[in-house]
Amino acid sequence: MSEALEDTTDGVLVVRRGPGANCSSIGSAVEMLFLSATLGTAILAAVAASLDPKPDEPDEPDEPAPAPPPEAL
Amino acid sequence: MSSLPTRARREPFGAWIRLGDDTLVALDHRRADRLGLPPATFPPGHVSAPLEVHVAVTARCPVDCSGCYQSATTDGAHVPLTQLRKTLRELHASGVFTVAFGGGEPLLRDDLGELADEARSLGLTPVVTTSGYGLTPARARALRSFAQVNVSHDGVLGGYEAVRGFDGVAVAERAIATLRAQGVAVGVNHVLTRQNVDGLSATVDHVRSLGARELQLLRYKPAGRAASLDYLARRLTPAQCDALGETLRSLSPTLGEGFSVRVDCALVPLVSKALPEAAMLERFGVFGCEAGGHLGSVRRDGSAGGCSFDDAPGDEGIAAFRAFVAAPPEPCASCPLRRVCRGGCKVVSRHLGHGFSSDPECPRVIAFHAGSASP
Repeated sequence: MSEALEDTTDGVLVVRRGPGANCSSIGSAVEMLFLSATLGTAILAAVAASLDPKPDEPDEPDEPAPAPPPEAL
Repeated sequence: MSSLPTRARREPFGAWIRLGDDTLVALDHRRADRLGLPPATFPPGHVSAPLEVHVAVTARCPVDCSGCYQSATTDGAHVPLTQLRKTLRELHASGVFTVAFGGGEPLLRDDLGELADEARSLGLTPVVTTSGYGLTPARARALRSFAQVNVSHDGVLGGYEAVRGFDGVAVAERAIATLRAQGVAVGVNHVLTRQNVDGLSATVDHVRSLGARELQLLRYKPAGRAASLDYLARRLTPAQCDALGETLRSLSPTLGEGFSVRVDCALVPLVSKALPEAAMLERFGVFGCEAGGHLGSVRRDGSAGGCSFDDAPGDEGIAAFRAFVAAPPEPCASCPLRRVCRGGCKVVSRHLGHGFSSDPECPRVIAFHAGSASP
């Protein structure tokens, strides 16, 4: 593949689909093996965007309490 | 809708985080800072903990698979629960994300669901592999803490019996249905051999129709009872390896939401002729031999290994895996896929008398030694 990923990934270095459930060796998703650069860029950008807070989203009264921050190790 | 990480750990490059759907994401420092992750400092020579660790929970199994890599038996011992609880706490403290329970047959433990609950409570993602023997609706309900349960099924058209020496298809398919009925996410483990690989496309369709969300393809490895001359009659032929790469490429557009196929670390070199450049593979978390790197194991005696097949005493195996990756011999040293493949499966190279070396079944290695191509 000679295409290159566009640099629109905003600090997202790797996206690894998981978890897989094998107990003897570690697996990788086949659909990620043969991604086009266009689709790959879109996936990275989508993950980057999903990590941004969305302050403009209106509060919904029935929405559950915000999730706690991640457990930092 | 934003996606908040459910677990995170700082790394020298930035951070690893886990999202709610169990996707793992590596971030640079700037992005990790924006997420509010506390900074960390790392001493020179710091080695990160694995992302995934395989934990053997029993040496007991009711069936007698001819190729069992653990040589499990009907009277094998369970690992004490207290030892496993200690292991889980240590894995959590070290920053591991996923813990995969294996055996033997993990379902023979009455406390398997309890182990999954405990892993969850620590923030680990628990998964498990089973043959399905002994699974009842009640047992399946107790497994709901697992992110996924993989059932071994080596294929249609006689594939299962050809690989394991008995026909366990009915048991496996009943287990898949039972788990699904109880709301447990199900995948399938599928060992590829010379005898069943030609039925792969039919098996993909069949497994999908059963409601599994994933098919994990595994290279047959010469360990345990499979470490014999019979390995030579079971391993994939070079022509089958070439065809497998093309089959995976043709499957790829049909995969994604709802159903996925995965290749294991040991298959990466075998299909390497069909793969794109390493940079793309790295960005999307494709892992070759990660033993002693992103992958680790905990043996039945509680000691740590590079992977489930690493039987070297103490830390010798882990050190050997890391040393190989740091300075591989040719043709791996100049292979464009080196950073992803990491030299292929050392279980195979050792069994075939090559020691801790480049995977002798990799088509690039074969071509190199035949003098016909650069890697």
